Amino acid sequence: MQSKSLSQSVGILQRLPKSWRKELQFFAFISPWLLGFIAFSGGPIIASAVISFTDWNILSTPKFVGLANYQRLVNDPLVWKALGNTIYYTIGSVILMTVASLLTAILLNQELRGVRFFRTLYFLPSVTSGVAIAILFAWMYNPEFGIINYMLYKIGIVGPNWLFDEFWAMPAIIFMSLWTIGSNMMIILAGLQDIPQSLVEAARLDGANWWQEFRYVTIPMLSPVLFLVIITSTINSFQVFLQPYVMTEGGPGNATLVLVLYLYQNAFLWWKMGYGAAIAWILAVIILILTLIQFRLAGYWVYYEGERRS
Amino acid sequence: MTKGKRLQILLLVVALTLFASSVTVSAEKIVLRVAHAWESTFVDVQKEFDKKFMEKYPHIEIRLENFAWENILEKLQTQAAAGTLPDVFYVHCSWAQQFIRQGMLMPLNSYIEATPDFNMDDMFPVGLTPYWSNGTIYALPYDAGPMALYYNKDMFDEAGLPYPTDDWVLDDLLDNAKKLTKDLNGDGRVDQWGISGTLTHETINAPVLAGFGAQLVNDDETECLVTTPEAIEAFKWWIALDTEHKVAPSPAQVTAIVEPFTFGRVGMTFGGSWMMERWLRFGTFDADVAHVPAGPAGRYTTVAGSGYGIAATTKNAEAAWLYLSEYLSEEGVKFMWGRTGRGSPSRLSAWPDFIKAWEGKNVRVFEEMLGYGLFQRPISPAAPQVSTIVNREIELMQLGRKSVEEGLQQIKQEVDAVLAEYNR
Repeated sequence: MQSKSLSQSVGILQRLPKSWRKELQFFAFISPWLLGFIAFSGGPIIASAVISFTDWNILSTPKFVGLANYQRLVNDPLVWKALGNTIYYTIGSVILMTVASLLTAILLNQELRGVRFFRTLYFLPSVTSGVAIAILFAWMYNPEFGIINYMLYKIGIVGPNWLFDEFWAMPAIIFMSLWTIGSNMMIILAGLQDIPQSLVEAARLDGANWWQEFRYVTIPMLSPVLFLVIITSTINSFQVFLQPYVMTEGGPGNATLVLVLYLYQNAFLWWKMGYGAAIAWILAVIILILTLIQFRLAGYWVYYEGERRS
Repeated sequence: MTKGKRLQILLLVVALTLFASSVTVSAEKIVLRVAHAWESTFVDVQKEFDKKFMEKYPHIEIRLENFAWENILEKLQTQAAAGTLPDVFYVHCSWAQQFIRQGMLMPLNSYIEATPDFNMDDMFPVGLTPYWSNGTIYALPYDAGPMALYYNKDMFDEAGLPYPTDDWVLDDLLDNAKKLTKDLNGDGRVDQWGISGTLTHETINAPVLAGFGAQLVNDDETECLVTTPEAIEAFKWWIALDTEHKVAPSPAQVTAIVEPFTFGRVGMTFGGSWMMERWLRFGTFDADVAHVPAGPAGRYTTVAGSGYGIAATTKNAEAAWLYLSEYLSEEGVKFMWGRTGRGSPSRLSAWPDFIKAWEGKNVRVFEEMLGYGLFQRPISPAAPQVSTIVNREIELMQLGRKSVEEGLQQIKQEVDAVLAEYNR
C-alpha cells in the first residue's frame, strides 16, 4: 500500500515541469532541516523582532513602544562601547585565526610520518567544551598564580595583569581564539589538497620560488576556502559571548563588554526583554551588512575554478 | 511486551489516575499548593510542619512543591506568566518589589488586621522593609539576615590576638588586619591576609557608607548619593584596605583562591547570617561572628532576607492566609527556624531557641544587629542593574585604575539614570 502511494506521487512529480521537479526535490531533501528551522529558530526569530518593539519584563503584558528601544540604543554609551569592543575582538580574532589556521594547515599538509596524528592533535581542542576552556584560560592568565606569567617571569619579564587590566584583557581573550582553529584548519587543509599538482609543477618548471608558488598558486587556488573561513569566523566572532561571560563579566571596567554580553545582561539579568531583542536585531543587521560587504569585496580576490580575471 | 498489553497497562494507569482524583474531590478538601526553596535536608522539617498543620485543619491538604534556590525565580516567573502560581510561595527580598509591581502578590493588610493572634510587634521592622509598597504589605519574612564580621579563631590564636569585641571601631579592624597579613612560607609574597569581602554591592550601603553617615540612594530610591563628602571619605577608608594598606587579597588573588575565607586564607570577612552553616558548622577551622565595627557615624550593617507571599490569583485566599499565618506565627517560626538554628528568624520570640541551637557560638550578635541593621538598598527592581555598576566600579578602584572620586562619579551618573528609568 505504501509503495503504491509512493509511485503515485512519483507519477505526479513526473508530470511537473522539469525545473519545478528539481525545486521540489531540493526542498524535499532539505525538509528535515527546514522544519526544524521553522519550528525552533524561525518562530523565535519572528517573536524577537516583535518583542524588540515592546517594553516587556517577561511577567508583565508586553507594552508596544514603537521605535523607543532603537532610539535608546543609539543614545546608550554602553552599546557603542560594546560595539567597539566587539569590532576589536572580531578584527583581532579573525586575522589571528585565519593566519594561524592557514599556517597550521600548510604544516599539516606535508608528507611526514605521523602527520595524521598531528592533525588529530591540532583538531582536538575544537571538541572540548567552551566553558571548560574559558575557566582553564582564566587560570592560566591569573597574574599571581597563572602559568603564563610564571613562564614570563622565568625569562625575566614581569607579565601584565591580563584579565584584570583594561588594556590587556581583550588581547588575552583574542589570543584564546587560537585554541579553536581546528575546524577552520581542516577546511583549509581540504582546500590545499584540492589544488591540482599540475599547477604547482608548472609553476616550479617556470622557476617559481616557494614564496611565488605560495603567493601566485596556493593563495589564489585557496581563495574560495579562505573566503568561507573569513566569513564564518567574522560571523562567529561578532557573536562572542562565552569568554567574557565566564572570564571577566565584561570587566575590568567595560573593557571586555561585548554586544552579546550586554544583550544578555539586559534581557536576563535586568529583565529588559524588549531592549535585549533590539540589540540582537541591530547585531544581526550589522553582521548582514558586513557579510554583504565581504561578498562584494570577494570579487577582487576570490577565484573560482574555471573563472578568468583580468 | 506486546502492543495490546502495553495499551492495557496504559488504560489501567489512566483509570487509576481518574479514580484517585475523584477521591480527592469527593472528600471536598481544599488543596493548597505551597512552593519552597529548601535544601533537601530541610524539606523533612517542612513536611513535619505541614503534617501538623493538616492534623489541625483536616479540611486543607498541603501540596509541597520544592525547588532549588537557583531555579525557583525562573519557575515562579514561568508559573506567573502561565497563570499557575502556587497559592503560597517563597519570595526573596530582592524579588519582592518586582513581584509587587507585576501584581503577583496579594495584599495582606486586611488579613493581618483580622487576625489579632498574628503578632506583628514581634517581627523585626527591618525584616519587613522589602515587602512594603505604598503602605501595603505583600509578603511576610521568616528570615531577616544581617551581615556580621566572621573571623577565623585559629588564625587569631596563632597571631596571639584577642578576638573582636562588641566595641570594635574601624581602627581596630585595620590594626588586626595588618597583624594578620603575613608571608607564611617566606617566599617574599603575602599569602595570608587580614580581611576580604568588605566592598560588595551587599555591603556598600551599610556598613561601608552608613558607618560614615552616608547612603547609597535616597529613601525614595530616586537619586544616588555616593558623591557626598561623607561617602567619598567612607570609600577612601575602605578602598585603602586594598590599595594602601594591602591587607586584603587583590581581585586577581580572590579569583584564584575562589573563597579566601572558606579556604582559611584571610582572618576576617563580612558575611550574612546565611553563611553560618558553611563557616561556623562545616568549616575546616574554628570560626565565630562578631559585630560589624563602628564607623565614625555609628554602627550599621546590612540586612537581607526571605519571606512568603500569597498569589494574587489564588482561589483559596482564606486557606492560604490560614497557612501563612500559622507558618509565620510565633510558634511556627520557633518550630521551623528557632529550634533548628536555620537562617536568622524574623521574630524576636524565636531567638532564645535559635541561640540555644548555636550554643558555643556568638550568634546573639545577629539578634542585636537586627536592632541597628538597615535593609539592603536599593530594594526596587533596579537593584540588579545597580549591583552590576557598583561591582564594576569597585573593582576598578581596588585595582587602582580609577580614583575614588572618579569611580563614585561614574556610579552616581549611571545609577541616577537607572533609577530614573525604573521610576518612570
